[in-house]
Order: sequence, then C-alpha cells, then structure tokens
Amino acid sequence: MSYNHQEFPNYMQTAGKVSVLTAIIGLAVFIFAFIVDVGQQEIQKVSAQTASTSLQVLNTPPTFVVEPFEVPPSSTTTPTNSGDVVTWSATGNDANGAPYYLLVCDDDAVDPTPTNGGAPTCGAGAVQWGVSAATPSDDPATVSTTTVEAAPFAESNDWYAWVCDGDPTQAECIVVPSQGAVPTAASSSPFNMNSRPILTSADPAGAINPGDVLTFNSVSTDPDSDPADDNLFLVVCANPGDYNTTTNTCDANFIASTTGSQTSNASAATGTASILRDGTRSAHAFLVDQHGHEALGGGEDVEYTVNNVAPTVLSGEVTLNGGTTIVLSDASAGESTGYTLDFTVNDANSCVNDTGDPGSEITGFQAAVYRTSIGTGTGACNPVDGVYNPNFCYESSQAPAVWNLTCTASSTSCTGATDDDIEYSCTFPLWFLADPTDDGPHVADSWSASVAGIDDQFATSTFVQSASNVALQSFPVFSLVTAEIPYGGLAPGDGFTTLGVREEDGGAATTTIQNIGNTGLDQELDGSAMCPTFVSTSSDCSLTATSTVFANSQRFGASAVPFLDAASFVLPTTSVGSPAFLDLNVVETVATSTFAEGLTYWGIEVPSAVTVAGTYTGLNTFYIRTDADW
Amino acid sequence: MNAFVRNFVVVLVLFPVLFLSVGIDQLYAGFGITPPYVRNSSLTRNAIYEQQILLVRGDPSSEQIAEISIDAPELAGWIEIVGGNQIELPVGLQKIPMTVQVRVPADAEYKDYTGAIRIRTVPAGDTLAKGSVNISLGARVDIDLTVIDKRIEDFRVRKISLSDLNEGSKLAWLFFPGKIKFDMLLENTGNVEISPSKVEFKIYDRTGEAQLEEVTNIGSIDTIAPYDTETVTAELPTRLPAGSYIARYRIYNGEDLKQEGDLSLNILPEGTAQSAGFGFIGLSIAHKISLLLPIFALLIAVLYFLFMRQKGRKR
Repeated sequence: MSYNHQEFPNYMQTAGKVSVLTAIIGLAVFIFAFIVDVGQQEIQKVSAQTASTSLQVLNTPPTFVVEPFEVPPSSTTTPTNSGDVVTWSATGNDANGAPYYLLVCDDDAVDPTPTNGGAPTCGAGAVQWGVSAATPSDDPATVSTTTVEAAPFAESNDWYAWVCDGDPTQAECIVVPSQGAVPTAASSSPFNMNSRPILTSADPAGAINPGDVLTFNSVSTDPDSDPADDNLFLVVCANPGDYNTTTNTCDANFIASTTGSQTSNASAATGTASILRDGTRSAHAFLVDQHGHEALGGGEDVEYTVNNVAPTVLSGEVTLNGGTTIVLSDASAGESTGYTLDFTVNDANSCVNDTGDPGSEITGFQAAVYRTSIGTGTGACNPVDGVYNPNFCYESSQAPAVWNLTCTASSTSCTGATDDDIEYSCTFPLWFLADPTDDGPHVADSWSASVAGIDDQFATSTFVQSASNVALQSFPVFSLVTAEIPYGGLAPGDGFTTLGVREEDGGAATTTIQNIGNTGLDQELDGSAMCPTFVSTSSDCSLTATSTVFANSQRFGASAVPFLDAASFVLPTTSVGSPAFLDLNVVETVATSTFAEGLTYWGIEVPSAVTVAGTYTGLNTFYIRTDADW
Repeated sequence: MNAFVRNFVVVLVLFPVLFLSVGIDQLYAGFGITPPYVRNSSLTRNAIYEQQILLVRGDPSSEQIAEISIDAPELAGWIEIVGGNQIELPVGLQKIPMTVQVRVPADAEYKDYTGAIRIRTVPAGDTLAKGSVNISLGARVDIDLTVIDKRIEDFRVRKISLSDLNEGSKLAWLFFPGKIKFDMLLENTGNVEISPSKVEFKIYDRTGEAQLEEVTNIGSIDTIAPYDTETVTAELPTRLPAGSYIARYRIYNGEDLKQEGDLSLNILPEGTAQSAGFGFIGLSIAHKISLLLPIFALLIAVLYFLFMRQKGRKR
C-alpha cells in the first residue's frame, strides 16, 4: 500500500517531526553531557555537598609470557637420574609490573595458595616440586628440585606450574596452571626420574684358556619400566679406578661390556688373546643402565683366572741335524759329536710368566732322538720311560754322562708377554753303534727327533715328531785287539798243520778285529811277500826264492781247520789279485764297552827254498766290508 | 863239503827263521769309512754323479797314506777318485773326505754296474815294525750303479722353514696380499731337474681349530739339479691380518704328497718386516681385471684412432 502525501494538509505534513527532532536533540544533549562530563564539578559540588562515592580497582594475577618447561627436558627417553636436579623455567608478566613467583606442584586439584607479600604454596594435598624466588616481571624464573629414589618421587612425575604475584594485600596466582607449552614435548609434564640399577653380584663364568671367550655374569635388575624395562650394561675394567662415570666405560684397561639388550642379569663377554699369561687377573664390573646411571657400590670385584695350558710343539719346527744325513765319524769306539737338534716350544701362556723374565714360562723340554720304528710310545723311546739304548734311542732323561744333550734357548726369540715361543738349539753326541738306516736291517727306518715342551708349572706338551726325518749313514769301522800275526819261529819247510795253532808252542796264531762301527762286518784279506829287506812293499824284496816268503805261503780261515782244508784260503798278493773274502759275520756291536769281534785263524808254511835266515817283515791288509746280511 | 852237508849246516846254524810277533802301536786304533758304498739307481747317460766318502781313523798321531784301488772293470774310465788314488792322512786329522766321481758315458749300456773301491792305509815312510807281519787297515767301498733310460722325478724334503712376513697392503681399491716365503731344503733323488709341483697352506688360528685361509703357491719354484740338495722357496699369498697363526703345509710332487706338517706363521703389521709383499701377480682375479680392462680399452681406442687416421689419409 502507498500513500499520496500531496493530498494531506500542511499541519499534517509536519506533525510528529518536531517530536522526533526534540527527542533526538534531548538524547544528543544527554549523551554529550555524559561523555564530556559537562558539569562534573557542579555535580561533585552537588555530591560533596550531598554524598561521597568510592571505587577500588583490584589486583590481577600475573600471566605466562613463556610457558614453563624443563631444563633439560626430562622424559622417558631422557629421564633425570636419581640424585640429579629437575629444573623448570618460565617467564611471567605481572600487569602491575610487580615481581612474580613460579610455583610447580604435582597436582592441580586444589588451587595453590598465594601469599601476600611472599611466595605462594601448593594447594592442600599437593606436592610442591618447588617455587622460585621473587622474579621481576618479564624475567625468566627457575624452579628446581633434587630427585631422590623415595616418595614423593616416582618414575613419572606430573607437574603443574603457576605464576603468582606477591601482592602485599591481594596476592594472586594465575587461574589455569600450565604443564608446558606443548603437552607431548619432552620438556613438558611429567618429568621422569631414572632410578639406579641394582647389582647384587657379579662373577666370571669360569676360568678360561687363552683364546677363549671370557664371560662375566651378574645378578642385576633395574626398577624402571616406563615405557619399557631399561637395558642394563655390565662394564668390566681391570681396576676400579679405570671406570669413568661420565663416559660409562673404562678410561683404560677395558675388558668387556654388555652388547645387545639385556634388562636383567646383565652379562659381558669378550674374546681373549690367543697368547695370554696364566694366573689370576684383576677385573671390576660396573652396572649401568641405558641412561648412564650406575648401580651403587662402585663395582664388583670379578677377578678371573687364565688357566695354565701345556706348551705345544709343531712338527715343522723340530729339525734334526739341520735336515742332513747323520754321519758318524769317531773311529775310536766313542761318541761322535756335534749333531744338532733345533726346535721351538710354543706356549699360549706366552714365553714369560708374571715375572716378565724371558723364558720364565717355558722352562724346559723333553727330547728324544731315535730310529723311527722304535717310536716314542709307552715303553719305547721317551724320557718318561727312560728307555735309553745307544743303538737306537737317545732321550733327555739321561744324565749328561750318559747322553750329553746340550741346549741353548735363543736369547732373542722370547720378546715378551705377546710372544709365545722360545727357540732352542741343541747339540748332542751319538755312539759309534747308532743304527744305520741307509742300508742293512733298518733300511726302512730313518732317524727322527721328538720334542715336548714344559712350562713353569710342569705342564708338558705331547711329544711331537719332526716332520722331516734323516738317514743315519752306515759306518763300518774296526780295530785290532792284537795287531800282529803271531806265526812264531819256523824252519824252512816247516809249517802249520792247523790254522791258528802254532807248531812250536801250541799258542794261538789268530788275529781279532773288533767292530767299533754300526754295521755287521766281513773281511777281505791280501798280503805282500815277506823278506828281510822289506820296508813298505814287497818291491823292496829281492823276490828270490831263497830270501822271500811269498804271500801264498800264508793261509787263513774263519776257524781252526787243517792247513790245507777247503775252508783254509790262500792269501792273495796285494795289487796282483783281488783280496780274498772271509765271511766273518761279525755282528753289530750292541754295547758301548763290549765290542763284537771276529777271529781270523792264520797259518804259514815256510818254503824249503828259503835259505837266508833272519827276521822277515811283511804287510798284510785287512779290508772290512759291510756284512750283507747282518 | 857236499851240497847236502852245506844245506844241513845252514839250516842247523842259521834257522829257525824268526817271524817275530811285534805288536804295533795301533791297538784300538780303528779305521773305517762312511758311507761304504757308491750307489745310484737312477743314472742317465752323460750324468755326472759325485759321492763323498769319509775316511776316519781313531788315532791320527802318525801320518799315513790311504791307497785307493778301483776294482770295477765295467766302469773303467767312468769312475775316478777326485784328487788321485793316494790321499794323505795327516797327523791330527781324524776325518778325511774322499770324493768319488762317476761320469756316465754317452753310450753306456742301460744296466746295473757293480764293483769295489778298496782303501788301505799304510804308514808314510819307513815305520813298519821290522821282523813282523804288519797289518794294514783297509775298507771296501761297494759300487752299485744303475744306468737307466727313463726320467725319475723325485725329491726328499730335508728341512723346511718360514720367515715372518708383513700383512697385505691396500692401494686404492687394490689389495696386495702378504707374501709367505716358505723355504724347503730338498734333495733331488731323481735324475732330472725338479721342483715341487705345488705347495699348499691351510692357515688356522693359534688354537689350530678354526681354518682361516687356504692358499697355494704363486709362480714357479726354482728347480734342483739331479742329485743335488738345495734350498728353494715357494711364495704364497695371504690376506690375513697381522697375527700369529698355525700353518699346515703340504708339499707335492705331482700327485704325491711328499711332506706335511705344522709351522708357526707370524704375520707382522705392514712395514715391520724387511720383506716385500706381492705385486700384480698377487692380486685377485677381479682386481687384475679391474686394472687390465681400462688399459686394454685405452689400447684399443688408440689403435682404432690410428687406424682411422690412416684410412683418412688414404682417401
């Protein structure tokens, strides 16, 4: 609907407008007076003159400018070790510019109690972790508390922080406490306390041999379980003072440490050196959790023992006579000297003991030099059984008067506790009758040496035979008991009827050879003609029948047979024919003082043609040869 | 005086002829030789073989002469005593060497040859006891030789030894292993030059329980002349670090295991021992290829470039 304004009378057109305008002006005046306070003095005057009014503006609590946080953050991953300090820091602002307090409590169930003109306190029933000193507004305030493994401290500890002022008349605390700017941050509530692990006992798993794994076990626990049980580490140092509580390891003399995750009964193991002196060794075990918090007690004494092990000898390190054939050389029924035996004794306990003196651990040896088929087993050639035989077994248990094995330990081969060997160089003699192995009944054998090492506790290695054996060379040697052929006196045409029996007195006409070598012996014989002018050979003789007794006038045999018996042989002439063989079969000598012997029976027939009387001189030759079947 | 009477008087007055029995000074004065043989069963034509024989006597207080005679008709011209058939045995010397040399002719029959060498000692000068049958001491050397027409390749290990060595070293990506030098004193018991065909090492930890490495020799080993005894060296690579180990060695002649045994093997930190390690030959195959491949590629590229340039000039 619409109106036609033109149709109304004039008064009608202005009616209401005045009223509205008046109202508006009144309202404007009122507002002006109210805002500009026109007539204030007048009104006061009127008031003073009539009634007084008062208005008190109240104190307001401080506020956080910087939310509280832990310094350093204390969380499950970086807990505060018991005994350490938890510190909070925050910055507050007081509207009045007054100092403020930072209050940290474990609960916000009850509001804290501000104190007029002083520090606030936690509400009833709450644990007060701490309250700061009065801190100027906008300055950082800090609160700290030292953790202990007792109430009210637990593994996880909530905290609530307030800022309060110390207004003398109306102290106020911020209404809503803070647990940190970011609830999940490590520096926000709660703070975590890490308790010490508990080391009840620790021990080595047992004595070890060099090269073994050395293990230390412990009875140990850790009270912490948030968010999971703490890992424990058993750290073993040689001495108590070696452990560093800051680095949680040994500054020196580290022995072993737990590896992997162990939450109780932590153990530590380490491989040991292959060369390790025997004896008891100092060790101390320390228990520390994964947050570097050590168990109380300063470590457990876990002294361990390295066993004494027997020395060892390696076959390639035993060398008899430098690897060369043994050649006997003494032709006087004695000992040939200068043969060598070189060997190395190893000991995993090193070549020194705790004294450190070279050779103090490896103190001796046993040695045997023998023909191989004899061996070194029980009852054979070894120093334990003491079966010495100059034919085939020489062993070191014998007194030097029997077998003079002389050994010298190298002065440079033992260099200290990390060196495991000593080299020995020995010389020794062999008797003339030591069995040959290049020929004869022992040709399948050779000579060898076996050695065992002995340590300072008399542990003895096995007897180890040289990898390389050597031959002992045949050594046919003989001597004469009576170096004469005692024919006695004979007239031309006279002669022996029986070999070996002198006609004139019935005495013996024999020669005896002694076997002072190492083979069986046979004999070959020849001789020269005899004459009074003989100097060195038969060529000195005139060789006429009247003054020469030719070699073929002599006969010999291996027994007392008739002069012309088939077993009586004509003596060949030297340099004319080959010598005659006599199968004496002198066996190998088996005792150093009693020699095997062979007798040759002699006879002669002086030709009737000899007319020149006198002393006839001649020269017969005895060739020894190795008996083929001794 | 007739002849009968004269003879009777001579016999009655001048005889008996006395063969006095005078003991010589050499009681227990022994004599001997070693070895009592010249023996070789693998001689070949043109071979030269020497055998030393030691003459020994118990009492060297008087000078003597050793007279040597060779009784071996089949070997006439082959065999001789080096230095002649008389050897002086001077005062004070108990052992005197004598060398027998055998020179096998080019046309020697393939068969066994035997004989003897006799040695007898006689006093030097006029020192025989007068009026007695003196005794000369002598000895016989058996000769036993065989000439054959086949090759015999054999040796005997007399002694082995091992030197300390440096551990291997690294240069860029190449690892040069340490060099084990394994010395062997070998006697060639055959009739041709020979050396071990293979030397093998199994290297264990010091307890001898855990095998750490197995290696064989690299490169050739020097040969030994027939009948000689010499030291030769096998070189083996090792990649083990410094430490003390036990090496179990094996020495082969073809398929025959000639000797095995244990030795200590000490590997020292690099630069400790005065001995060089392996060079290129010691590298692993992969490392050799990695080194050679770029060289060959470069060579081919250069050749290709030269070829193309030559071709361009012709156009």
